[in-house]
Amino acid sequence: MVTEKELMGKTPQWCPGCGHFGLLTALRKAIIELGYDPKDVFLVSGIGCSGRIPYYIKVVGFHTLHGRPIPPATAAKLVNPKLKVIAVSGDGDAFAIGTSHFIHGARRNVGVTYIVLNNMIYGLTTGQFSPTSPIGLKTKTSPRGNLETPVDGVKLALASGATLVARGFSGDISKLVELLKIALEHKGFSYVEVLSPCVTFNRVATYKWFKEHMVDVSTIDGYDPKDDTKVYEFLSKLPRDKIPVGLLYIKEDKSLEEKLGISEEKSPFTQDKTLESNKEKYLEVIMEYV
Amino acid sequence: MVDMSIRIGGVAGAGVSVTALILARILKEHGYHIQTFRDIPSRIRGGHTSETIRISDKPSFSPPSEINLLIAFDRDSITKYSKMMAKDGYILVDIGTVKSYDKPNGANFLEIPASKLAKEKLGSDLYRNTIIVGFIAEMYSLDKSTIRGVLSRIYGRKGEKIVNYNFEALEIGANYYKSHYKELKVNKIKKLSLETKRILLTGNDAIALGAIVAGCRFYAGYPITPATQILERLVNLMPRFGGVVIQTEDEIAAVNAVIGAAIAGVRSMTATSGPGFSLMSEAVSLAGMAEVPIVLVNSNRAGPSTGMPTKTEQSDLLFTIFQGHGEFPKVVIAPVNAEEAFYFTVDAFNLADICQCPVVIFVDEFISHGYQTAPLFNLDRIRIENGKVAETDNTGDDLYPRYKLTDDGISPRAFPGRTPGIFITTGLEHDEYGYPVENEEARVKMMDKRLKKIKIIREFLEKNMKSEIIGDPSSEIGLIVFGSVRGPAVEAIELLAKEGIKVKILRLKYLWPFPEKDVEEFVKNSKKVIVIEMNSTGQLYQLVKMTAGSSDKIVSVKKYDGRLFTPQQIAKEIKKVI
Repeated sequence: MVTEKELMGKTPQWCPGCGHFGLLTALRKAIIELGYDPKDVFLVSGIGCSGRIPYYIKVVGFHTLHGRPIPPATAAKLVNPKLKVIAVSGDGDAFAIGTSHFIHGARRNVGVTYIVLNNMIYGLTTGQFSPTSPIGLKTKTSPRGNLETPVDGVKLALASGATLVARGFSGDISKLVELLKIALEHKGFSYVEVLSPCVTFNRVATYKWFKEHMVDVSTIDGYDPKDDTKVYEFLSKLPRDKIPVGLLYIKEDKSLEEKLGISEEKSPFTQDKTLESNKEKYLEVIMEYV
Repeated sequence: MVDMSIRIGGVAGAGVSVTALILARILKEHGYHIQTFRDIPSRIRGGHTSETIRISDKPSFSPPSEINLLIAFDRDSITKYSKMMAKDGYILVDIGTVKSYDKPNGANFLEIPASKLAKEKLGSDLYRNTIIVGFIAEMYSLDKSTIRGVLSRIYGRKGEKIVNYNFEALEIGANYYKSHYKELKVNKIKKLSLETKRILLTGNDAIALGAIVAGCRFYAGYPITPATQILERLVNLMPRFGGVVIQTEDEIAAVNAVIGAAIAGVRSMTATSGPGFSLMSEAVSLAGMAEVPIVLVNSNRAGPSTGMPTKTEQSDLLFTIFQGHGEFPKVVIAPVNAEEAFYFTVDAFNLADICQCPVVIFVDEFISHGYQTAPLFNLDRIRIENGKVAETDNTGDDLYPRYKLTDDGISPRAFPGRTPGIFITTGLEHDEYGYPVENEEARVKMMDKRLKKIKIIREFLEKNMKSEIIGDPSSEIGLIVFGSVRGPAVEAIELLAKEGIKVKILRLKYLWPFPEKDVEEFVKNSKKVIVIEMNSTGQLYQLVKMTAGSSDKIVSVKKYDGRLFTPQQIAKEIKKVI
């Protein structure tokens, strides 16, 4: 079993107190507790402070383009389902430039865990508002207060057909570890939003603010994440300023790779693609054009 | 010597392409070389569409100068193409569909109420096409059993009853000819016996086949004219070989998915055209920086912007070469036809893996869509070269230096799930381990490392894809061309040779890194150089001047009406210049 030390990469450049530290710790713990081999873990990140995570955890890392972690994550999982594939985004990646990929990633239900670090601000570019910023938030690009309605990642994930929807808080690492473990082991697409305060640029959405607005569904009597009607009912009845957290929705369904007949043993990666082994079959196909 | 053309015109959706393909197959089965030219509108139904089939006893890849048989399913065909008729050519009109039409002087008209006969005798005007085929079969004395074989193959899937109706339609058409036009003077088309089999396919078909044979097992793409058929072929072919195809939400997802699959160790490809290729620019820059081998197909259609989706052009030459912000090694290769596209596609994958960079297969709408005969692909010519891969070892689970500095700039690759397997891929400037760096020394070291790969790329291209010289090398007049211009250019110089005018051609097989040595030498050994291309700003001409210097002896010939050059057009331009 891999140790915490073996999973350490470079020292994170995040500000002291950054919410992302909580996710990083939780992710390492989840990988250790699930017994994953780090060379089987493929972590793809986008652009932003969250994008730097591949340098801070010693697994197979890919620091890609803004908004684009999901397509390469999806592809990697399809060509080698043995890999544990994690896509990481910030709120800009997920809800601005990469929203289309988010929707289609969820729709396709390929076994990727999509972790979205939501701090409701653009941190690395030093403090512009994001698609999840609360209305009225004053930032460098919303000096008179944000006028745009924030998007709700959970509802978007549900509408897109995601088969696991969860939200955690980087200030509560043990709960986050549990959510991550369920998500990583889930067959199909899992969405884990992580409320992760930006201590430098977001003076509104602080640890205290999140704690005041979060509602843990595991404390709600009769909440059943498997019953989508109940889930929608709960979400529609929840006061607008409340943020539901926990395992919000889960559905057991075949993943796309399963439907396509791709498995650990029989995958594009493991296949024999040499000319010699396939010559007869290639000739057969060419002859179809005679 | 046989060299004739059939053109079929009608309303889009009325069976023009179907009829053309049936005739193309039949004539191919008669042992002839076939090349089709599609002149289709960008719509599903309505509007005028036409297909031309060139039939000859030697390979030809250029449009015919005149039409020997025009099949008119609408009045527009007659108005548009009667001027192109050969002196002894015929216009066959389906008077079941075309109720009245003007008969221009000098044209020889034949009439058959094909759609009416189809409805009356077989219950559906869909059989109109086969009735026309039967008429033509009788007219040119084609081999009936060969035709029945082709029809069985095409319609077999629809059941014996449909096949038999088609056989009946064949007889109806043939009998109509016999009872109305038996005395016509027509050059018969003899069935040739061939020693080896030939295939009939489009450039898109060939690229899809080439990818499979190259071991590509991941394809992601978005439908776009004229590359859509590559996606459609591979959707069916890939699963037969254990590969995966996804139709993505857009071209950005497609190219990024291709990068992801490549990092995971599987040969991957996507195909698109101008608008989609534009969207892929950022990711190509990523592949260059992160040193990920990817193969892209760019099939040039008339632009800019949405342009003319079903028309051909070579206007994305400079864009393709310079695509992607920043500087990184990249390869652009340009096959001229389906046969070459097959082998070049395998080369593309080998080159991408060896040099760990993006490789673009640059074709155009004509190459993508035109049906042509080709010799059966020879798998003995194929080699799979995977480039440097780190050997499986038991060095534990240390972070593997994915970007290790080496003598030739190429670092051995690792793949997730293997040992070594823990590595970082990144779009940031990085050190050997993939960690971000920004200091001057590290930056220059890594940039130099990447640029060093160009030497290996050039060696590969000079060895496997040296520009070809066609015609008498002592000619003083030289043409420089690439892609589908080769076909008409070769025929043009044959026409001029008959008039005693000697012209040679330098045909570029790869466009980037630019074949400077080949071009410089050619320009030096010519008194006049004519750069011939299908765009309006002379992009290849710019590249030639960049390489060989500006001089009065290098001139530019351009065509940008969305159609391929004809040999006659090229010959005329050459005569204007000399």
